[in-house]
Amino acid sequence: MSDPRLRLIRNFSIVAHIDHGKSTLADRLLEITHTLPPQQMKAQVLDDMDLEREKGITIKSHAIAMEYTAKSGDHYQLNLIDTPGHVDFTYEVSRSLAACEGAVLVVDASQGIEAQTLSNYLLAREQGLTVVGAINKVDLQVARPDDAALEIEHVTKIPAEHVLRISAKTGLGVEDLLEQIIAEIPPPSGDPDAPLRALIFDSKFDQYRGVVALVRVVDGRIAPGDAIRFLSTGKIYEVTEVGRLRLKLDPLPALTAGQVGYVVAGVKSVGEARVGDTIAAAVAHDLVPLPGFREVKPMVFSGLYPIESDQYESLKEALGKLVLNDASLIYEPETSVALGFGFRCGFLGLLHMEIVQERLRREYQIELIATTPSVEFKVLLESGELKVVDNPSQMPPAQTIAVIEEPYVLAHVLTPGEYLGNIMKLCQDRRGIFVGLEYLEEKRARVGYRLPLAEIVLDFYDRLKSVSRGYASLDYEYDGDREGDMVKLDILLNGETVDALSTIVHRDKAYTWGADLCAKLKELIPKQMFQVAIQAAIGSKIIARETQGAMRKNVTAKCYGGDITRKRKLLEKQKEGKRRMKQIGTVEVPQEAFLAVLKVER
Amino acid sequence: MEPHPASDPLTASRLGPSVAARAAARRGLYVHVPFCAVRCSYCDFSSGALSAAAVERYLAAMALETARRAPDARGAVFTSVFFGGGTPSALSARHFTRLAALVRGAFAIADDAEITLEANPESVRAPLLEAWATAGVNRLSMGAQSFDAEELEGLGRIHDAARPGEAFALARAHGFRRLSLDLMFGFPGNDGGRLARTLDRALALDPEHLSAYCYIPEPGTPLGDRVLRRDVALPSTDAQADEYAMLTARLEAAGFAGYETSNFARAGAEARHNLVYWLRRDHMALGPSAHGLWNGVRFGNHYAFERWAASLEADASCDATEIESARSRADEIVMLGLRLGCGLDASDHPATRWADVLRRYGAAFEQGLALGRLEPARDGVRIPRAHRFVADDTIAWLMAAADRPSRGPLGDVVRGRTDLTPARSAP
Repeated sequence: MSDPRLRLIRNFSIVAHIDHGKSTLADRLLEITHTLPPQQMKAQVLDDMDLEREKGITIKSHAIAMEYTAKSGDHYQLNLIDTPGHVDFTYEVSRSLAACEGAVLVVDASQGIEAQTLSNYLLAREQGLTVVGAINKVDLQVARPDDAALEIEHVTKIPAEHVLRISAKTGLGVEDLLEQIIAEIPPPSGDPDAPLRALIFDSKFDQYRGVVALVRVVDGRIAPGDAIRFLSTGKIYEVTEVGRLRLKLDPLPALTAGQVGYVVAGVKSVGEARVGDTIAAAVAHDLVPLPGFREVKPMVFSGLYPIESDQYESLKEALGKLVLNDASLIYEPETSVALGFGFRCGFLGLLHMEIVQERLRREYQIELIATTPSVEFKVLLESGELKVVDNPSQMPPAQTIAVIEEPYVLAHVLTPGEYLGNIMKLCQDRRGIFVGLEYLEEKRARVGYRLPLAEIVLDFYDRLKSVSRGYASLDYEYDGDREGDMVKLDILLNGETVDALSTIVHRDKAYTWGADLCAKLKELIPKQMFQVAIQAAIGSKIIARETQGAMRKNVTAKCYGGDITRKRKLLEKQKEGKRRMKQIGTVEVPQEAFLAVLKVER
Repeated sequence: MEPHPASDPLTASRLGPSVAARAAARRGLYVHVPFCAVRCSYCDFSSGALSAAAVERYLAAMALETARRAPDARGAVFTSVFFGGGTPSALSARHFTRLAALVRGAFAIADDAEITLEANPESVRAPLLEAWATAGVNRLSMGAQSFDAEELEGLGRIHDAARPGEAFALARAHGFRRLSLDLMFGFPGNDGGRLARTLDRALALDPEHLSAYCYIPEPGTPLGDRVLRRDVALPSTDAQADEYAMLTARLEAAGFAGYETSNFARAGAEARHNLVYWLRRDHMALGPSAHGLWNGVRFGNHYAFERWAASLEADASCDATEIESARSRADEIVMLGLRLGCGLDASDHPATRWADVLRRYGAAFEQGLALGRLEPARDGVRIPRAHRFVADDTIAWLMAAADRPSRGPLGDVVRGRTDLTPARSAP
């Protein structure tokens, strides 16, 4: 039973697929509850990173406190916790959901439920959340809200007629949704008089305050001056500020059980205030941590190198700043024969990798080369030694290896039935092991496969979208390691192995892979002064070759008095093109070529 | 940089230009004559229709410009003068004599100066040749472009294939010892076979100098626009490169040194005036669209005759000026010097400027040498002969390499075929 003091609090999040209107709904809620003055309203107001707005996805968790006077006349405190919207961030989503009592399941009236939504719904159900259903975009011509409602009923057992029809864009039905949230989602449980336990569901770095931990107070009370302990690290800090989350931080004298807000306590990096950790009083002993904490482990690894070697220090500094705000990013120095000095970075997934690269480019103006992404292989040597290899160039010689194990994921794809054949073929091609198939309704299937992560990180998602005309959606989770017959595929340019282009692939695929990669590199490496031989090799055996012929003409025929300034400017342009290339031996290799492996059509 | 022994002294000397020719090109004077009898379909130079009134206005404005520029050049002796166009040969003998007098009245021309005039074969006639010779012109550059009737028509040329020969004979009869022919290749309709026949005809005239330009489609010209709209096709770059290789080989076999990307000369017949540009020596410029480099400032006159004349009549400034910096100077020395067969040579430049070049480009040169993009020359570097038609790639590459610190705090990460020791030797 909920403490009567918590009766007027509701903590909820919105579960929705990308583009199904989550951020627009959040905007509308902020407007209706007068959380923001109209002049501060803009689209996707919670997504404060430019990248989030551009990509239309939420990368960081956000939370915002709203006040709402219900039709009953009661004055409610509503906390909306906005969750990241991508499979790379499943753990973060689960912790955000754990901070709530309820979730609004938003489904696009024309698209129906997608795998990501279903997966987050299942996460919400695991956390025991009460789910309120809403069909969005009912104002659109193509809307088929009744089908979507049936689908929600099928999945969630919420009766179709009880699912609200709304338009986040026009505001239609959004007040009703608020009333339903209040009526159906329970107030927080928790004991304001018990010892402090607060769940960290996200943390961010603020240059004036240090780390700002976003928390849900589960039991007790937290106030400035309190000595607190983070249970996973055992470290003790003194609270300097607490408050609720408006668009800006809004200090309060204290946060009590049931409330969502922030805590500032002189924490230096987000790595110390980890998502899922429990905050307790420093003096408390034998306190049970809140469930569900785990160390987030990167799944995908890639080397990041500055194109200009003198930007190494800037890159180091920039990564240092990024990890202040991104505990799931890891990096360590690495050297490449081809690329010089850089950093081996670990990411949650490809999207996370893309985001980090894009931020380095935009926010720190560092032009990067990223090496072929790799997963982490466990390599047992004949000598009995176990090596963990996340960089293909570090793979020990084949003859010294006894067994290689590669990570697998359990993947679920949700798709209209007509694409099932394509999708199952794709999964088989990617060495998938069939797990099961079920129909959510007559036309929608959910198929499960165990897949090597290495087969997923490259281009699986794009391929999935292409074979299903964009309708299929994907969700996966780590599923242990299994033995795989893997080989290291090297790429040679004019006879020199380019370590940054090496990949680890399954032996059965090495030949086609090598040929495709050479062909793609031929497209990506422009004609230049010297002919370029592009070869793929396993060990010392060349398995594929392409030749890029030499450039024949690049000259200014006339260069007299009036031509000189103009010509210098044209050469400056050519020069800028060259600066974005990396000289490897005699070959100038453009940035994109290092990600050729992502661009091979399979 | 230490002087390198030339790897192939014979080839090096044949590539030129000779040390003597480079030393003689000290200071140039360019005079633009913006009139043509007919506009050619490929040409984007500043030029307008010829009328007596226009020429009078031109000469009056030229009088203003010579008066305005002369004080800057006080004490300077010019080793070359170039009357370019347009078509300087389109001026009547009387008009040309007045133009030459204006120039000589304002600037000191060396007694042994090279004085070139661009002439269209069809306008070469005895009275003009006499006037030119009297004014001191001692070199004629004739635009033949092609000896193929069909090609000439396509290029909008008004002379026939026989006319350059007649013009040459007439010029020789009037005592002109230095004759140059302009040829063009790689334009729509041109191919290796036609170029070979044009070369045969050109060599039969026994010119001292040849310029052979790969056609550039200039927007705003009739032919250029047709190419850019894809109404007519250019030969492929491979075909153009093959033509360039063929013509280079033919001309070298005939005793011409390819001393610049598009220029070939018999020993001692290099165009001194053009060397002024490529060695980046001071040059004064007169007339519409003319560009000069004087005392560390690049300047450009208004392109159109009307604006040029009007600005002088109103005593207004010329179109554009750019003050050189150590960096722009070094970039230009490299960009221009690598057009020459002999390449860059320390002795062509004042010691402090060469030191600037080495400061910025020393490491880049070493890397270029290691990669085979450059080869050692007498006291500098040059583009290997086989790469002259892709020279811009190496020039841009050098500029990029020069911008890049060769060694970061962590050492060199660029690998070449050989060890890259820094080439930062003090000048």
